[in-house]
Amino acid sequence: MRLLLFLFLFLASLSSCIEILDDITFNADGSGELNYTINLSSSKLKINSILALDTLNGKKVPNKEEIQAKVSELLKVLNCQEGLSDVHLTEDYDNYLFKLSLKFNKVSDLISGVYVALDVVEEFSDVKTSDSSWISWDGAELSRSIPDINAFKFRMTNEEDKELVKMGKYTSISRFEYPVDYIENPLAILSKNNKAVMLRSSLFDILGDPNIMGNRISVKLPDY
Amino acid sequence: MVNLKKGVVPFFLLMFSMCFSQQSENLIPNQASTVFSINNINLLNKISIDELVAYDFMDELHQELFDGSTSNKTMKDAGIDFEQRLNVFYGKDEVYEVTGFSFGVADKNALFKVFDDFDFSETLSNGAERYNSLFNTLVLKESSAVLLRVEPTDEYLVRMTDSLSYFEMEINEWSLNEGAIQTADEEVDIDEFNSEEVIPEVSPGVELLGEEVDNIETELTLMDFANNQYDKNYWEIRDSIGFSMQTIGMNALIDDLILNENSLKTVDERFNLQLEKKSEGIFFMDNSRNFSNQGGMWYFQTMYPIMNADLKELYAENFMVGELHLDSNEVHFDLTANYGNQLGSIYSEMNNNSLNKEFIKYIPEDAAAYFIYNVDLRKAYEKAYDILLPILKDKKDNAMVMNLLAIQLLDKLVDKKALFGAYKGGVFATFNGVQKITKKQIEFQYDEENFDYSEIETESEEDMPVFTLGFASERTDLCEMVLTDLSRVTSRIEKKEGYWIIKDALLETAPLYVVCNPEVLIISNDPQFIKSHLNGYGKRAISKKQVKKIKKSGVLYAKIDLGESLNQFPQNFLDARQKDVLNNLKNNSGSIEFDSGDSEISHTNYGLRYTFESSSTKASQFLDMINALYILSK
Repeated sequence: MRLLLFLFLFLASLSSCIEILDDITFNADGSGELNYTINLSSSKLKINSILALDTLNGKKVPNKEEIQAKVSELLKVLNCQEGLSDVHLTEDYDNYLFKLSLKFNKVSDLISGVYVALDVVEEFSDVKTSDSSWISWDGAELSRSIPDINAFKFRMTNEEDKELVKMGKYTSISRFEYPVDYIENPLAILSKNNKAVMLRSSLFDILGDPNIMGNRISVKLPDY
Repeated sequence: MVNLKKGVVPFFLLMFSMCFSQQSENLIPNQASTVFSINNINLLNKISIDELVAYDFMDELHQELFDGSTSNKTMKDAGIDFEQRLNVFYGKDEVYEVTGFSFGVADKNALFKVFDDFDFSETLSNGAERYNSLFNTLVLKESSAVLLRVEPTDEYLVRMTDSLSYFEMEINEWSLNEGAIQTADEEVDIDEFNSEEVIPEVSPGVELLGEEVDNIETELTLMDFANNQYDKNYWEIRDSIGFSMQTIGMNALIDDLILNENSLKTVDERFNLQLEKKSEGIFFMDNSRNFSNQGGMWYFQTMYPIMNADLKELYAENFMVGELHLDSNEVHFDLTANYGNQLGSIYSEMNNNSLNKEFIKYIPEDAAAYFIYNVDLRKAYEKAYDILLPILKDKKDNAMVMNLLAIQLLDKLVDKKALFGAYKGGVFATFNGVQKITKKQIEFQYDEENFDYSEIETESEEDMPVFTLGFASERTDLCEMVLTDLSRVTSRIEKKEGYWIIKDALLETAPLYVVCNPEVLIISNDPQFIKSHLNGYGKRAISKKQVKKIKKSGVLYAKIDLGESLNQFPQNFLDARQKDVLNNLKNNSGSIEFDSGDSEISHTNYGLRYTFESSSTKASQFLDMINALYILSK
């Protein structure tokens, strides 16, 4: 049961090099596509050195097979969720690059699917249902943030962890069928084709204040 | 007669003051299993408080004293009495961790100008004064003071929080489903629920704290239950439990130490004897208590809990005492590891062996660090078998009988000569600096037009330590056989002239070399060694003078060139505790030499010499060494 807790601590300790990329396409009919990538390739030396250990800071280190088993369990749960389809996961254990992609009928399907999947994992089950407001999309206006990861049973306890997390990156991309009309968050940037918005921040800042990844975007619907 | 009186009166006055005046060593709690006591603290009178609190052994104070009150203040300014010892202590059982230090007080007003976060709390029944700050408690008793911190162990706190958290969740669900309100009668369920929870045994030294703790779980559950605070999140519940346990533990400790005067000195004669030593510093560690708390024993404790409990008696007489001496440019630390006769006879068999000469030729003279460990596992095994079997045979439960049966069958069926010939136990290692290795990583490249992205492969360099490890073995042909067979199924293993190469073996990036020489099996990632010194370093190996020194040493000899090794060693490969030690010694230059004497039936002597060439003061070097030892023994 401590496997995921360990993994999260482990990811945090490697956050000098962790890069998370969430890329969501929002269609006008409410459906969409999620592409979620975790890139640990620049930490692979450290990951390999940790995986070679039995324990780290008194906690058992899972082996690759245990990690794969947990990941496939999560995948199975996602595959069974109503409103989600084409769930795929690419695992590259040479570069420690993990890519999850899925399609959703409505954002509520995406949210509930993610929570059911997280609930399977004890360490993520503390993410409160109130966080279900982290994303809403009515076809014209998007309001999004990221779930409060401080709710996880995880705390950075020493300065070294904090320093490492400062280097980690989180990139969030929102794509639309129609041109963007309004962006609330001044840190967000708009693509040249006006149909995608990117917001980037360090993991450290996000852990301090998850709201910095919050944004409200409206699109210009065509006049029919 | 008058002259006699003249001499006798001051003598008795002196004796009286020695017997009845409060000394700082009387304020070390008996729960402490590790103590460093600095005798000659005059040495430290020019050390700034800021410098002192930066050490790990002062960690508990760190957050409180770094508030400006210590700026430009020395220990002398803090009202500390340099005629008394400064004692740093640490103790841990399965429920509590106790840390702190005790010291003499020469000027109370000056003390509280520095310790300005402490507020007066109460005068205890014996006249001692208690002061509290946010995290710590300071008790002033006569002319000495002790700063204490009591915290529940993480493992215990997590276990208790998890059980309460789970309990609350159950109650909530039940209440929602049944629409009922829990009544006081149903509190019985709490005990039933808790009855499955095994309250860990606490060591004799911490019984007082342990007793207090027994009821905490129930009390806290009821308290939260009564307050209907089910919406607390995990961390809030954990913090509440932690705080309550701290309060209860601290009160129990003060009752025990200050009111009942059960200090380590009064309950442990071994520590008392150690206090009589006149060296600059003394060290005391009760291994019999540390044994059960060692994280490194988790595997044994988990897999063989019954055997682990029974074997604890072997460690009952285990304790370590040491003395720290300070010369002009050298700190030396003499340590004696004491143990009972049974363990002693195993150690004697295992440790008292002559130097394996084959090791010497593979250690280069300019090695940044190396160690040689001379043990004979077969002799140790035979002795341990003779000693342990009767102890374990006294137990009659099923699990123990099955374990014993397995041990005896293995002893009869396994060819011990072949087994211990393949791995005799002797080992050496050298650290030969660092080398750069290239690693590839994936980066994303974004198209500004639409933020589509593509993956690109980039390269970066990382440091990797270069080492050579050697194992004494009479059967390196077995390793040769294994590698030959494996090389037929994977192209990563290849035979070369005089050695084997395992490609990408280290962290899936760097190669590892295996050399099967007749008496030594060598594993290395040092390309220079493989290229030029497969049969040893010849004249470039360590000098005869050095070999003589190693021969004189017993089971263990280690030498570290601080400048060449610590400053180069990549920290990525170390755990947090090792990093702490490394960082504390990192800015120094000089060398550390560690050796041991022969193992006697009751003890083994070890010596550590730290010769420094640093511009910093003797006192700083002394504290650096104490700090490193403190971290390692914690």
